[in-house]
Amino acid sequence: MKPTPEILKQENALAERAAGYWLLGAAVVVLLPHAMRLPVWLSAVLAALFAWRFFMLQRAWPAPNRWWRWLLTVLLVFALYREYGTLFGRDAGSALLAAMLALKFLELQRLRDYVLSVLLIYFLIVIGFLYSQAMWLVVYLLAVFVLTTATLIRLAVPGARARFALRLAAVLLLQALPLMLAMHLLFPRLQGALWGLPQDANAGLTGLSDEMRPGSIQELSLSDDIAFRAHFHGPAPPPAQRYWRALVLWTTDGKNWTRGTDPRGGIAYEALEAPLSYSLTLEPSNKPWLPALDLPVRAPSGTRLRSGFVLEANAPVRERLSLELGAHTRYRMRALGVAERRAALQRPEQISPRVQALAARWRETAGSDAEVVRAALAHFRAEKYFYTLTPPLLGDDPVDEFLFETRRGFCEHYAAAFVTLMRSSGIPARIVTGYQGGEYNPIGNYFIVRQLDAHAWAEVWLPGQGWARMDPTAAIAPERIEYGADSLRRLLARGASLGGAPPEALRDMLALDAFGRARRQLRLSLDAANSAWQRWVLGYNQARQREFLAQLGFENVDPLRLVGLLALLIALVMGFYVIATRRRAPRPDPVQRVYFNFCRKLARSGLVRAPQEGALAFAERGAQQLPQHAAAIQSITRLYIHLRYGGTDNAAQRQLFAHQVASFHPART
Amino acid sequence: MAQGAEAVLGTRQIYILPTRHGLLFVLVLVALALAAVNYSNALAYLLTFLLASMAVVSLLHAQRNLLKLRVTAAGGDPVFAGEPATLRVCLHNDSGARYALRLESAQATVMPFNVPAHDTRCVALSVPTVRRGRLDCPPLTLASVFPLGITRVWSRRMVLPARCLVYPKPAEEAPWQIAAGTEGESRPGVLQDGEDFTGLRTYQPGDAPARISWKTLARGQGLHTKEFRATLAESVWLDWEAFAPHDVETRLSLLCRAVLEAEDSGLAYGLRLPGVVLEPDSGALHRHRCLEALALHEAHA
Repeated sequence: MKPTPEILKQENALAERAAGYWLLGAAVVVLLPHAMRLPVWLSAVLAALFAWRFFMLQRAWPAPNRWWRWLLTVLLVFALYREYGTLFGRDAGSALLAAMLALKFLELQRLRDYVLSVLLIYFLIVIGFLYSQAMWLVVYLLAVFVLTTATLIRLAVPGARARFALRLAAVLLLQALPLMLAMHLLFPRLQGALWGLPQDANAGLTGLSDEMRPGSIQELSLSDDIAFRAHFHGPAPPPAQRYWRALVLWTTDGKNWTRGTDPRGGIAYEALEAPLSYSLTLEPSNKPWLPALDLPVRAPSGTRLRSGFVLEANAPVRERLSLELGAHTRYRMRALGVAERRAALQRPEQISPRVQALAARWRETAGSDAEVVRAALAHFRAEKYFYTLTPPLLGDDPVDEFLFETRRGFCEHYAAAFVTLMRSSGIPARIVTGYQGGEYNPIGNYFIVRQLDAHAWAEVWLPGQGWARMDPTAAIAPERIEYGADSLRRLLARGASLGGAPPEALRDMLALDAFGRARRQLRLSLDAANSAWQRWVLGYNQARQREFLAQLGFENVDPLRLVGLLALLIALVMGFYVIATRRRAPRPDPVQRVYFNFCRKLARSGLVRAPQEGALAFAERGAQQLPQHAAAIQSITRLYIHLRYGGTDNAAQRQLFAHQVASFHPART
Repeated sequence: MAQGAEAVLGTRQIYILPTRHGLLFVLVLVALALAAVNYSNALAYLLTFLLASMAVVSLLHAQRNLLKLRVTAAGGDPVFAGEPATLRVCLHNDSGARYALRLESAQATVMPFNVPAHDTRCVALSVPTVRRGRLDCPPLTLASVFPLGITRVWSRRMVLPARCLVYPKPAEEAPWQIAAGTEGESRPGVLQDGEDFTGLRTYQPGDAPARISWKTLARGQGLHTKEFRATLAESVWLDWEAFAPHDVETRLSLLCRAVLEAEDSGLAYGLRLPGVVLEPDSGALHRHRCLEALALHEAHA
């Protein structure tokens, strides 16, 4: 049955009065966080459509007619397809949803259209979480959630006041929390995607590359995205020992360094002290390698150790990952395997004569490998090498050009040059990339390691010691290791000379003013809260769920049983509630309670009030049966009727009533 | 069916099912759950759970919105058959406020209304009438989509003892065969006892409808008013037997019109029905008694 235009008009008028502005407001606030991300033209179109809707409400502007709406829809869909190349997936899908919502606003007619818009807004709230799970966003979107729910309430309850709707929405939200928690803990978690992995879910993730070319880490060194957080269960190691290794690069063609094929055969090492233990929470990087402190003790489940003591996950890290790890910071190794020695001595086919001559000179003058290494580090320190984050571009033979001409670079340049020189001197060497340092957060007692802390260093094989970490960057710019990458950047920005400045001068240059300190404090507090949030809320996955259920005594529960358990729990709670409300008889008010007391007294002397007998009729019967108490019965009844039905609430009369009943003793006479 | 002076809505009298919007809501929930699983996004899961939990909690709110409401009904003023009768339905609330209640019967629906905490609200339910007699309050259903519009909670049909009196539908044309006279004597078609009919004059606005000459109007001669010389008779008798050729309902209908006209013209009138005799009198109460007698006349008394 098609409703007549008048009914439609009336329905629309009602819904618009109840929720017109609310719906518009909810749509605008839910899309605000998306605005930065959406293409500029789309944001502009959305703003224009919302403005139109606003004037439809405010100034009774007409809606564009059907043809215009269709044209607009087709144009928008086409433009979105041009922009994204698809209409599905997270990015294109959310843009399409936003556009559909704005277009829907031009043709809101029936209550159903309004409800549909509200549901679309719920959808957009969830989509917001696919982009960021930061805490501030959660707080913001929860507020949007309440507003959206209040809009739904206003549509369902005609004439509901703003305060009433918002309060009821908040009450519903709060009452839903325990149940939500139960679902959160018990709803079976599935690992992996349903319809193939979303290509765009990991777009824009930054992480270390498994290929190093002088200049490639530079991109990372500009990003202050967080790579991971580490929480030590004991005292934290000093900065000079905070080397987080992720990749070992064995193979080079003179320009690029890659992992090559893993050399066969592992190496046993002998720990020189008890391991440190710490927990690591990694941000998704879409890469499998896991930065671990030198040297990782063991591989937790889901990860494995590769040659070179680097830890790797079995699959790229696409969601936040928490690991419990151990590390030996001091160790010794006995013998280098044949395969590893060969890999660690691999050299590009062409090495410039200058480089070869330099290596040969050290070899001749030094008595041992260790002395060659010392000579090389001394060379970097003594000659005019500069640490800079903006090195000049290098050509076909970057090592040669860097060593003898430009002499400017950062960790990658130094590590690559150092390892090339070592291999040319016949010393097994390799490049290690990962992160170095990290910022300590005293509020949460953990280290924040950012992408800008990415670092490359070298390891050489020294007989009797094994693989030894050599950081040529530390020879040029010890501040990089001592103060961290971020401080180094600030020092460079202020034109500090590295490598020789007295520590006091550096500290002065790094000192923050009061405003800077407050900002830092705030940032660290927020990060601590964020980190706790990530540890306890966002990190809840299949593995955690299994752990939790095991603690409850449920081992290996299959998903279907879990759903059954959840349903049972909900049914129990609901059933309990329904029974509780049925059993609870309406509580009599104080006046009625006193009167019931009076009736009980009469019942003891044989006068029982029938359930449907009115107070007056009962009094009449009472006066006949107990003539000696007729006056008292009549008086009490009159007072009762006056108090209960008279509409006046008089404390003195109530007291009198209570007193009369209390001093009424029919049974004793 | 709940029966009695008042209906109290207990848990067994209340039903709940999702509305069409509720089904849409469930659809969105499923889509959200799929997105959460696919992107294995903890907050997407959490929000989906929050929405689902809110829907569950809203069921309790919906049920509580009707629970323990007491419903009473009272008949309104009598009406003539064909006019809508108005029944007053009152909702007595002994606890927290109730929202967006809709009172529904087979023929009518009352717009949503609220009942404040510990208060009573009455609404007028308009019911179409067809036949004379006592109109029983139709079975009523109380419903609501509170709080989110995604569920509809409704009560079992309540039959309340309220009744409304429906007078016969007055005949279009006055019979003007009022039998007048003293004690029992009646001669159909004759006006007498001080009624000195002097003639007709052209109708003027303000003339009593009772004096309109319906016969001349029926003959197509236009509106005329009858003129009498003296004051009207002290009493006329409206007699069942005077309309003998007609069937029962038509007679009642004609008598009804006659009562209305007699009252309007200020006559004292008596009503004689099989088994019922109402002595000549006038005034609103007498008019009501007469019309009531007509309304409740048994066909084969």
